[in-house]
Amino acid sequence: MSTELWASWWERPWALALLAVPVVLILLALRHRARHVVATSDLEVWRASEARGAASRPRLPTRASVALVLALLALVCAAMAIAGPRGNASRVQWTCVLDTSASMSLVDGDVTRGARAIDSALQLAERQGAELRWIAPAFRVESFDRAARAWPPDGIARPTSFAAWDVPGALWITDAIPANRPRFAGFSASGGAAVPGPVAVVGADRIDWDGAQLVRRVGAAPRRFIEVAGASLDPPREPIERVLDAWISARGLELAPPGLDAQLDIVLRVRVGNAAGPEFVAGRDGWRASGRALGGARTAELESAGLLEPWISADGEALVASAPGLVVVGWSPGEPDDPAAFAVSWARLFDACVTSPRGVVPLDERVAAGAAAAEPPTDPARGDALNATWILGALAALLALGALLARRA
Amino acid sequence: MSTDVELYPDVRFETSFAARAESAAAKLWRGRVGYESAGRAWIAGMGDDLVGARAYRAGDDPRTIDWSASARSDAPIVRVLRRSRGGAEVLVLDASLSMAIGPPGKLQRAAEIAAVLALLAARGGAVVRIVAVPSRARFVLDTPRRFRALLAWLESLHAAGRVAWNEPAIPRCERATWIGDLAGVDPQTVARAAPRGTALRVVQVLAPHEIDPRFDAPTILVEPEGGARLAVDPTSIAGHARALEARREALRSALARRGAQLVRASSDEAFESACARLLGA
Repeated sequence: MSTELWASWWERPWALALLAVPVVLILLALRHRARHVVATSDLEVWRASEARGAASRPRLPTRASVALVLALLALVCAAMAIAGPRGNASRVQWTCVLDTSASMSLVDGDVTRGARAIDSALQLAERQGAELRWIAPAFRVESFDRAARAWPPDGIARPTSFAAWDVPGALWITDAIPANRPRFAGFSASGGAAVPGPVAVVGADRIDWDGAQLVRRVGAAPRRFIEVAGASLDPPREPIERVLDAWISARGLELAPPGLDAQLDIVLRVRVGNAAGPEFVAGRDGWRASGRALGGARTAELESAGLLEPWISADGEALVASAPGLVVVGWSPGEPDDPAAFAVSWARLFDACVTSPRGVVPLDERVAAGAAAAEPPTDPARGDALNATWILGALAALLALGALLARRA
Repeated sequence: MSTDVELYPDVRFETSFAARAESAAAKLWRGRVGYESAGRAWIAGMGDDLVGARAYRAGDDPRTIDWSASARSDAPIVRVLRRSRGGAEVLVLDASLSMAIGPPGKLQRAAEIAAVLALLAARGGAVVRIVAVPSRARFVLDTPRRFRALLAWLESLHAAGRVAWNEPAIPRCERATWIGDLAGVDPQTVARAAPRGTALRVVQVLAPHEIDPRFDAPTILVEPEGGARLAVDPTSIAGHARALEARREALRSALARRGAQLVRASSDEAFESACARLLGA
């Protein structure tokens, strides 16, 4: 066990060496007990008394053994009291809030800005003796591998809202020093120089930033794919399928063949349910339509992560929900009353959810992040839990008193 | 027999012991201890020479009642007799290995008591034979002037072996005293240790922890002579006290039936007090 871990549990870990005292006393007592041999000439008398009393005599602990045990416990408690257990209530815990913006994935030197910010946060926490808890509000954080410092975490991301995390004990993990310094939260900023590269894709062309100006690369746009599950676009029959097919063509996307997800640059996934449910009439953006609810498209995993935002709801239930890179359709609308409004409305949804292709990072994310910096947060309010040191000290005193009384009784 | 406990098998008198012993003997002699005691007193009492009369006291031997004097009085009167000077006396000193138990060693204290009793008897004109068992070594004290030689002989003793109770250790004599721990012996056997017609007294010398064991942890008891062991714990102490008292009563009863006296002494007790108690001071 490392020294750091001991130090995280005890104020004065060196005092734990005092635990050797009761251990030595126990060994001495056992040695003394093992050597307690007495010569006698009246063994027959002892045998007679043993034969008479053994059957009815309860095996009670002796006064000396009770006193010894109490004294040893008192010593153990005293040693632990001197060592000063921190306890959960008295330990500083920081909540690390991860910046999930694209700039954190930019490689600066040989590591990403995100990995550099995490290293800086770990060093700061070690200096301050803080215990860290990691969250990424916009990610499925369970997949975040802190040890590997993989960045970005695999999952569906939304932009991080640091403003909601300006609280004591929060540590922002970001790349640039926040323009508006937090009042309570701390931050670990990786800093970093500007990273030129692709910033956008327009049709078949790619827009690059060379560090000074934007350059249009004609026909250089990367291949982008859309994955559609639960619906068939060959040929499109339902109103949604027709809009989606038109939108894919207009944006220059390709339909991803099944089974090749990992190799393709999928910028949007559309999941359509396939179980028939009750009929709903719903609409938005000036159109209305009637259709059956479809189960099975929304997963409990996404629900619990709180990543999906309802787009169309009826009777308090989300029929269509979305997240960056994902559209979940749990409703099959029939012909809308206003087909044009219907098409524009859905196209906006798809545009809002589609993510950037790999390697394409918006220009404002590529600019220089300035110098690295780190500031600890203000301490979170510590609980009023009973101080374990005083409890152990009082217990040691009581046990010592009990040992004395047992000895004298 | 080797044991893993400390034993005290030797006798070593302090330089002041001879003076202390002579002083104690002189004091006991002057006080005529037992002079007016029951008929088994050893310096004066049961004997041949009439030295006076007194009122009967509980415990007096009925044979000492002077019926003629009692008839003339309102209360029973007993004769006070003094033993004739001289005679043969035997002191048997148990020097078996169990007498090495202590501290202080039981043999040491037994030897001190034997020295005083022998000196006292010699002063009374008796020829005293001191016999050590089981070695059967013996010393004859026929005059108080050989007291220093007696002490030297006692210092030559070494606790070893085991007493063979089936062999009579006490020859025929007028008075005999057994000084030992009576370890494991049947009370009736002790009572028969001396021939009929021989006045007997027994001094049982025990180590302090044999009389009043005090230990607060499980203990292994070892019998040096046989090497037997017994594990006991402090909760056995109360039962041991009762068993020890029962044995003492059995010894006292067996000896009383033959008119013998029993005195128990601790090895941490001064020899003067043990002798005084034996002689009824």
